[in-house]
This record gives sequence, structure tokens and C-alpha cells, in this order.
Amino acid sequence: MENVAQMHSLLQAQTHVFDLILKNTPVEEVLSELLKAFSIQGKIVLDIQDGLPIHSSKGEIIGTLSIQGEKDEFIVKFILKTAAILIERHLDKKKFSETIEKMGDGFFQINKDWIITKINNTVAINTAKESSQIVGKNFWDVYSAINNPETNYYKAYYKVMNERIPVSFVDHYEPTDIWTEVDAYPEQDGGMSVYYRDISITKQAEHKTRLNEERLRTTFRYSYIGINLFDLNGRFLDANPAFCAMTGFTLSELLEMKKSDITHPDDLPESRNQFELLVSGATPFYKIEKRYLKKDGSWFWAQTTLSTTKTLEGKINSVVALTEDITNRKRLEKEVHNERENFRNLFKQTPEMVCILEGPNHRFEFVNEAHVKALGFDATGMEVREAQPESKEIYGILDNVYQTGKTAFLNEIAVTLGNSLRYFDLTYAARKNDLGEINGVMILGTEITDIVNSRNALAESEAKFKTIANAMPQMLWSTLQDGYHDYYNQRWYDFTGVPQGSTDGEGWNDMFHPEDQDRAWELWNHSLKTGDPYEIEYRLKHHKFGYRWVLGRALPIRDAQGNIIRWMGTCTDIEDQKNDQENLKRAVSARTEFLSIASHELRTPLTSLRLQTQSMRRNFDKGRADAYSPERVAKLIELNERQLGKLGRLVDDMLDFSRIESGKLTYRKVPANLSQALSDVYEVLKEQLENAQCEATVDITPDIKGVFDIPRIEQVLTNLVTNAMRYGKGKPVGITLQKKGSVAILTVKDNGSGIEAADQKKIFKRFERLVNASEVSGLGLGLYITKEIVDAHGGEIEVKSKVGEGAQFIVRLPCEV
Amino acid sequence: MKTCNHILLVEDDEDIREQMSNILTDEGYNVSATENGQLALDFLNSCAPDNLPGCIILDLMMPVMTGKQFLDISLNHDTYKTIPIVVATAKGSAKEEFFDLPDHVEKVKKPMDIDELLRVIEAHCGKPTTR
Repeated sequence: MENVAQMHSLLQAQTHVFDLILKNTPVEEVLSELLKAFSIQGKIVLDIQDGLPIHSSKGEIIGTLSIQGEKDEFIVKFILKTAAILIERHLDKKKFSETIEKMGDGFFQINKDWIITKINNTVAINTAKESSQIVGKNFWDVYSAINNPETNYYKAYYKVMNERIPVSFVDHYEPTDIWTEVDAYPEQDGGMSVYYRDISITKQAEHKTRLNEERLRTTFRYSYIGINLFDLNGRFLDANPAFCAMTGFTLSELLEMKKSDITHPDDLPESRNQFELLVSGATPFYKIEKRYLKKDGSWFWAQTTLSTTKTLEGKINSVVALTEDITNRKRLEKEVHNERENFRNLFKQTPEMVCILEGPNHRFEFVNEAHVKALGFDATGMEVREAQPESKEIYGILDNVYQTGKTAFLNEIAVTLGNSLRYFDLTYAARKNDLGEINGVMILGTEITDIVNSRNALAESEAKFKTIANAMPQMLWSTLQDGYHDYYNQRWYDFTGVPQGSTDGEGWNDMFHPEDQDRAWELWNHSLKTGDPYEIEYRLKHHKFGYRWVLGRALPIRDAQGNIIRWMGTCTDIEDQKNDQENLKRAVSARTEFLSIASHELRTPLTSLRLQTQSMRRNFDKGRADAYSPERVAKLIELNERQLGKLGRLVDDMLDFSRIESGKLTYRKVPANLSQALSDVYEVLKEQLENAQCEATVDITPDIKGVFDIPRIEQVLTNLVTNAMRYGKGKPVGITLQKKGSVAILTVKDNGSGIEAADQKKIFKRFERLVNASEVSGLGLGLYITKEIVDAHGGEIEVKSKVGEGAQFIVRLPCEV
Repeated sequence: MKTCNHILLVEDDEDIREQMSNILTDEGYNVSATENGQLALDFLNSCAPDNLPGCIILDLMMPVMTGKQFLDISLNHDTYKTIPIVVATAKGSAKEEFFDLPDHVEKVKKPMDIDELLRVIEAHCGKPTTR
């Protein structure tokens, strides 16, 4: 209240002084006036430099007033010590009036009837009205906004007016949004004087401070970070709820404790050491990760940052600690670590090679066991070019991956390791850091050397197989388990003449003789169904020689479980063999037939001779001398001779045949007169012809000579004539011998039933007799032997015949010209 | 058993036919000789029914008509089927061995043993009247 009164008088004095100054009153005068106006008692020392002390009525210096200046400019310094308000004004003499009007403080006076009697310019500015609009008006009309009993303005002004006492207050003036500090004084006329000043800036600063404090308090209270204060001995001074929650201790419990009480013993030495450094001022703050005790006896990891607070004098007076629970982070770290370990272990044990190369020189940072095994040593720490100087194949790839970051997938790459070439499937991928920069190469690989080698070996053995398969004389084929033909060797193609691959699948069946196709197909399907071996003879079409007999055989190839996985088959050309077989069969049957005929033929003369002998014995026994008349004996002798001749011829024929068959028939060729020899033989034959009552005409050109085995040539004529007699049915026989150049031509012609064309070739084969065996006797060797003899002489024999017109045999033999 | 010394000989080989005729004639038989089955049938057909031969000696392997063909006919003939027949078969000939013959047809193997042949003929025709 004292301050306010002083203020009032000072302001009154100020106004008065200003008035004086405006009137150009001398300073001394102003000062004395000022002193008078202020009614300040006591001695006043005018000290322009330090200002004039202003004493209160009680004699205390309450402020200083100094007025400095010369000529046109004055600086008035008025310092009211207790209010600590400095008023400093730069005044221009000429603009003093305006300046004073523009002075910050507002001022108005009201008479007892609430009529505004006086205002300064600040009021006008603040109300945004002309002086004339305000002065003379009712105060509440002008300041209608505060005509409200709730406002401080309303209460204070009525208090001054009614109770006649000065009132000071602070309030917010809504219309212009300013905070005002107001002093209202009662005037003697029953009105009052009001001074107010804008304190918005101060007010805002205060507000800010309060806000900051509020924020700090809120932070302290609600922060999830634990905040606590220690004294310099580490005793708790304060702790926020977060810290209490972390530890489980209440604030009051904590205030009884020291920092060391809740620090893990293992972390204590470092914690203590750091704290001492901090409170000694050696370090401004420190950070520590340590374990804190919880009320339940467990420990938790936390990170704490400690710093100091200082007094205004700069002396450390307490320690602020910010604590963050890092249990989760620690756990995560451990998990990440474990996970990394797990991965490493996984990589270590995986059968695939895993390694990580670091840097542009590809230094092995990590290798797993498979890699160690493949390489033969642990390359960790070595550069690739150092560890594998021989593996030049991969340098370029590694460099490229490192430079471009492009992943390389390498299939079956050959890599030299040591002295051997080995094969790998490799994946090279760039490894990148957090910023995405390449800092290494990761390699994942599988060794496939065994697979490649065995495949190569297989290819080699296949090539070998192919060579063998094509080298063998038989046709070779194979099928899949279902009978699909997928392979034939070259012999098959040579035989059939079909293009390679054209008989794959089931095309083979078309190559078979139509008559054999169904049978082969049926048998093959049976084998496929049952797994029985396949064996069949069929006719296969040769591209040149037509159908030939072939022996087809196939066997199933089974896997370890006994399942059929393939069929392997062969085709063997048995045409010749089959022919031989046929020939042999025929030969055997002919020989049997021959033996049968021979025995019959031999039996006849034998029977005759035997009958003869037995008859003679019987007649002799019975003493029938009359049975042998000379005529009868002569007849018997003739008969015996005939039978013996027959026997002899048969034996000769058989002997000749046997010789021919064994290639032992020898010829004794000598120069001879063919015509003469045949004429002699004819003389012998003539008798037989006559006996058979067979007419004959003979025309032999004489003196045809050559080199002959005469007895054999005679045999030729004998055989031909005997045949003509035998088959000629007693009709005339014609014999001629002629010469054409160097060829002697013998013909024997009969007029029998003739020989069918189809039979004309057969007759020269052994044991061939066209007529039923029972009708004509003889071995059937005659023409065969004849042909052999003619052939042996370099000649040839043919027959010309038509059925019903007889047959003519023509023998051509080389002779002298 | 009726005695009949008339024998029909059927044999294709001329020499054997002649020799056998001589032998049988020597023994006192009256021999008619033919050279095949057909001629034998012709001969039988020409005989009066009461003057048929008492026995036929038949060779099997013959031209024109074989012994077998002759048998097929004669054995089915009302009159001829009763005539005893001696068949001369060649040993070792499969064709002739599997020949099924009635009881009154005898088999004699070739080459013939004349004593055996005469014994068989005698069994059927009785002893010939000696000349």
C-alpha cells in the first residue's frame, strides 16, 4: 500500500515536472518544483550523474530521479527502488507533448458522477477512439465490457469510489486482450484517478515459466523413464512413479535407501566409481548399464544416465538419474545372438557348403563343416586366392558378384581343387550391410562330383554298350517295362533298312510277315503280362532279300525288388540255318526213304536167290532129280545171273551215292573216243532192249573224242536208257550222239508219259522218283549219279518234256573240236 | 478142311513169281500166277464159283493194284472173303507192319522161308496131290 501511494505521488510529480519542462523552466526550478510537488521532505542532493535520491516521508530513500541533458534533449531517469521499475524515456523537446501522450501507461480521471474528465493518449490508443469520444462520457458507457460485477475492474473501481481508498489490482482486459496492472486513487472531488499499464509481456513470461514448470512436473510424473534425485552421498531425494514401478519400491521406501542398496553386487564397483567421478565434477555425466534390485528380490537390467544439478553459485548439489528398463532389449539382444548362433550351427551342420566371404578380396569369414570337408581344411581368415590358388574358375565370378551384386546361380561348374577337377552347384549372392552396400559374398553349394562322374561313366558305358551292340552280328533291341521299343542296334536298321527311330514303340510289328504278326503280338503280350521269356520264330522283312526267318528272343531285366524295368531282346537271322534244317530234314527223310527202298530193292533179288537155293535144297532132299532138266537149269542160271546183276547194280549205285555224298567219287579221265565207247555200251543195252521188247533207234556220230572217264560215261548212257525203258512203257527209244563245235551232245528220248515242268528239276536230286515207289523199282539214284558224272566232266544235263509226249534227256560234254 | 490144291499167286516180280510157281508146282500144287491185284481179281472173277482157288499168296507192294487194295475188295466180297490168304510182307516196312488182318489171313515175312510158306499153305489147302 505504501508503494502504491508513493507511486501515485511520483507520477503526480512526474506529470508536474513534465509540465515544467514543457514551459522551458530551468532545471533547478523544475527540481525545486518537483520537490515541492512531491512534498518530499529532507535534503535533496541534486546529482545529475547518479540521479536524485527520493526519500519517503519516513526519510528512507525510495528511489532516484535524475534528469540529464543539455540544450534540447533530456533524459529523465526515475528509479523507484522498491518497485524495481526503471522508467527511461528519451524525450525530444519538440515532441515532448506527443511523447508523453504516447507513453505506455494509460491515465484517466472520473468525477463523482462516473463522467470521464481527462484521458491521456494511451487511453485513446487502447480504446481506438478519439479523445472527444471519451471525455465527457459516462465511464461505463465507454468501458461497457467491464461493466460486470464479476470483473476485478468493476469491484475495484466501485471500492475506490465508495470507500474512498486506493486500490491496486491486475486483470485481463478482454476487448483488446491485454493484461493490465491498475492503480486507482480517490480524488478530492469525489472522483478518482486511474493509472494502468500493459503487463501482457510480463504476464506471458510468467505464464511460460509456469507452463515450463508444469511440463517438467508432468514429465517427471508421467515419464516412462525412471527419474530420481540423489544427494551427493547417493541417498534418494526423490523418485518418480516410473522409477517406483520399475523397482517395486514406494517413494517413501526409496527415500530411506541409498543407490548402492538396489545395485547388483557385480555392478557396484563400476557404479560407485562413476558416481564419484561425477560428483567430483570430473565428468559432466555418465551412462551405465547395470542390474537393479526389485522389491521381490529379482534383478532387472537398466540403463541409467546420471548428471548433476548446481546451485546459482555453480556448486554441485544433487544428482539426477534417468533410468530405462532394458530387460527387453537385453533379452532381444540375447535372442538375436542365439538366433545368429542357431543359424551358424545350422549352417555348420548342413550337408551343403555354406561360407561367407568378406570384402573385395573375398576373405573367408565363415565356413561350415561341409566346406571344410570339401576343401580339406578350414579356410577361415584366408582370402580365396590364397586358400584356393588353383581354383581359377571362380575368381571372375566372385569378383563380378561382389561388384554387381547380381546373384550367380552356377550349375555343375567344374572347379579345380588340389589336383582334381570337381563339380559343384553353387549360388553366389552378395552380402550387404545396413546401408545396402555390398561387403561380402555368401556362397551356398553342393558338391555333385560323384553324380557327374557316375553320369559320365554311364555315358561312357553306354557308348561302350552301343559299340558292342552294333558290333554283334545279331539284331538287338530293348523296350521299356511296358514294351515300348526305345532302342535298336545298327544291325536292325541294316536288316530292315528303315530309318533310325521309325520302329520305336510298336512299329516293329509291321516289319513282320503278315501271317506272323498276330502270333508274335500275342506271344509278346503274354510275356509282357507274365514276365515269361519271349521266344519265337517269325519272318522279318529284309530290305533286300524279302522275308527271312528270324529267331526272336527277349528276357526281362528286373530291379532289386524283382520288378521288370526293361526287356532286352535279340533277333537272329536263322533263314540259312532253317534252310539247312529243312535240307537236313529232307535229307534224313530221303535217307530213310532210300534205306526203305534200298532194302526193298535188295530184298527182291535176295528173295529170288533165296527161293532158288531153298528150292534146290528141297528138291535135293526129296531126291527129285527130275526137277533139273537141262532147260530148267539153263533158265535158273539165267535168272540167277539176272538177280545177281541187279544186286550188283544196286550195290554199285549205293556205293557211288555214298562216294558222291562224301566227295570221294574219283574220276580217271583219259583221252578216249566217246563215239566208240557209247557204241560198245549200246551193244550190251541192245540185248536188254530186245528182252523188254522195246524198239530203239540209234544215231551215233563217229569219232567224237575227248578226255573222259569212260566207264562213268558209259554209266550215263546206261542209266538214261534204263530209265527210258523203265518209264517209256515199252515205246520206242531214240539215242543220238552229235558234235557241235567242242561240245558232244548225247540225247536219249523216250515216248512215255512225260515229266511235269515242276518236276523236271527235282529228278536230278537224289532219291527222287516221280512215280509211286511201288510201281517202279529202283533206288532213284540214277539221274542223280548221272548228273554228278556229267558235272564232273564239265558238262551239263537237262530234260525236255511235255506231259504225254515223252521226255528227252540232253547231255552236253566238252570234247575235241 | 476141304482139300484144294489150286493156288493163286499174286507177285509183281517176274523172277520171284516164276520161281515160286516152279517150287509150288514141284510140291504138287496147281498154280495160277498173276502180277498185280487187278489181274488177280480178274482171275477170281473168271473162275466158276465152285472152282475158286483154295488159297491166295499175295504180295503187298505191287503196281496197278496193291495187295492192300486187293484185300479191301476181296475181304468184303461175299464169295472171295472165305478164301484163305497168305500175305508176304517185307520185314522192316512200316507201311506193311501196321496192317490189320482177319484171322484167316496169314502173314509170312519176306524174304520167305520156303518151308514155312509151304507149311502155311498146307494148313489152309491141305497136302497137295503128289504128282
